[in-house]
Amino acid sequence: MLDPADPNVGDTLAAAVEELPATWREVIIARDALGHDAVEVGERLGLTPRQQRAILNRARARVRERLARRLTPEADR
Amino acid sequence: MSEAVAAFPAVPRTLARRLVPLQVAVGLQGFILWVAVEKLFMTQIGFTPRSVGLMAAAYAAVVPLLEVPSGILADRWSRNQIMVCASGALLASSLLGGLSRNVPTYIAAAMVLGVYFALNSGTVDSIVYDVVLEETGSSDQYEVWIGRVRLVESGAFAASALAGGVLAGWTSARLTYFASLPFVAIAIVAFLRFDEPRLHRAAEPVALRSHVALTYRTMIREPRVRQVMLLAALVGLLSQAVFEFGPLWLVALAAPAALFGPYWAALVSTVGVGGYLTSKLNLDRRAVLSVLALATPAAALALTKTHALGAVIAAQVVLALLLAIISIRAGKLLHDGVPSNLRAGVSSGVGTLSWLLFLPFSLAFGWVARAHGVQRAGWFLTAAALLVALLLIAPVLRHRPKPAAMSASESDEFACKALVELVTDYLDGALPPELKDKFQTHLASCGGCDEYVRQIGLTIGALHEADLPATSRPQASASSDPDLSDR
Repeated sequence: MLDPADPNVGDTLAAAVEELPATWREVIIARDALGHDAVEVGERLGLTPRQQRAILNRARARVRERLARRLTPEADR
Repeated sequence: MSEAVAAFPAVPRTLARRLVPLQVAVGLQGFILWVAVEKLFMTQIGFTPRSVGLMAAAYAAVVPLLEVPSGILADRWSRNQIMVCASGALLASSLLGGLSRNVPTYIAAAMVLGVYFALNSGTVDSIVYDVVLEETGSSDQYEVWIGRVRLVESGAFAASALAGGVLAGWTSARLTYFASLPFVAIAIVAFLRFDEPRLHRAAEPVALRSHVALTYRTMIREPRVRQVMLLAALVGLLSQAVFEFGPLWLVALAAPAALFGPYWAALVSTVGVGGYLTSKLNLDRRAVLSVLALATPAAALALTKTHALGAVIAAQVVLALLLAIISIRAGKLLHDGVPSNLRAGVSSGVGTLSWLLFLPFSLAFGWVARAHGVQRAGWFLTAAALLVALLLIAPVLRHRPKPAAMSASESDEFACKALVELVTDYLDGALPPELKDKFQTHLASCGGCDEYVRQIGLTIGALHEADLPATSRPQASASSDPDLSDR
């Protein structure tokens, strides 16, 4: 359904990640793209577990919003 | 104890480091040597009470007109550049003021200063809020950091007032205007070095017309935003009233002239002390809010009752201090209810509303004070303080469980918002059991939320599969952790 090999999806995804604030971008790439461990990511960036999750949650929500807006003619939310 | 730990989590290193240039810039921008000797200089170049009134009117016409438009510009363009423009206006105003040899040119300088205030209003708050959000993922630490920025700012005000007085004594009042210029110029450099937040720009570009409409609609139609704006504007009005009319009490009680200096220093320092106290208090606690809500009208009431000079000064200082704390609280509530791309615009709306309310307030206050004495007029302060207390405590009272008062759709909407914030905690298995149950129960009954969580899952999957441009990885880690790039 959401095929990352589709150039449209890939470009939108890359653009959405690129426009995130630096710390958010770093967290979402480490956690979701590279699959790093939550504790390790938090320690490396000097974030508490709660902060790390809050940032990841906001970053994911932003990227989802961008994908939804690009891929469906009318944004659903 | 655990509550205190939860309220003040560790500071990420990037947050503290990132806010340094901003604090330096705000401090330098507040180091205006001529403020303390302005009235003296104005008399020297020929101002009379009537032309002082004219200047105040010209100034008051510029600020409210420009505040919201400049806030919207800050949201659409760059908040940093707006601060650079603000410093530029301060620079121009100081230069023009210092060169003035008559009333009209000085009034022109005052109007340029109005541009500075309008550009400044709401912008620093918005910057601090979004930086905290970017570096910690939540606004929990906003009050701590805006408190620190206010402390730096008021320290600069106090230091420049003292230095300005000394400098004017040694040389001339005119020189204080030119001596302020280098500080503002360095502030511009510091603003340019600041890594500004980008949250307000990440959204898709919106046409100017709909952006303006959305900003005004948010201010006028959103009940919660409206209520918090009124609270913030009333706090602004009341602080302005204390600073403008407070000295009248001392005059009425025939206070010795020597007392005015220390009195004024104490009043001005409340902004910084309030900022410091806010960073130490947990304003989410009902007990703390109740004390603030009770003490504020009580301090105002004391001004209508007492004839003792010491008590009057103490009441004014306490009132100003409480207002400094409440204004930070109101700012956080306001920012919490507004998206990043409308933040500076809505925040500037508070300034405009405050001006609009202050105008009739000050006329009425002046009339009663002249006819019946300043103590009688103190009832206006008490009434405004009561309103502030009610608006401060109202959201707390509303949060008490009142099942009958909350309609089903309202509670659903609340649950959806809470769910969206908890998705990652849920997926990471970080939710406590009872919250996890609530989460799953809501998910099972809400189609919208179920679809949302599914889409988040798809997003995570796509990110995992995606071949993201290699540039974003090294760049991202290099930008916030230089140690890693060396390995």
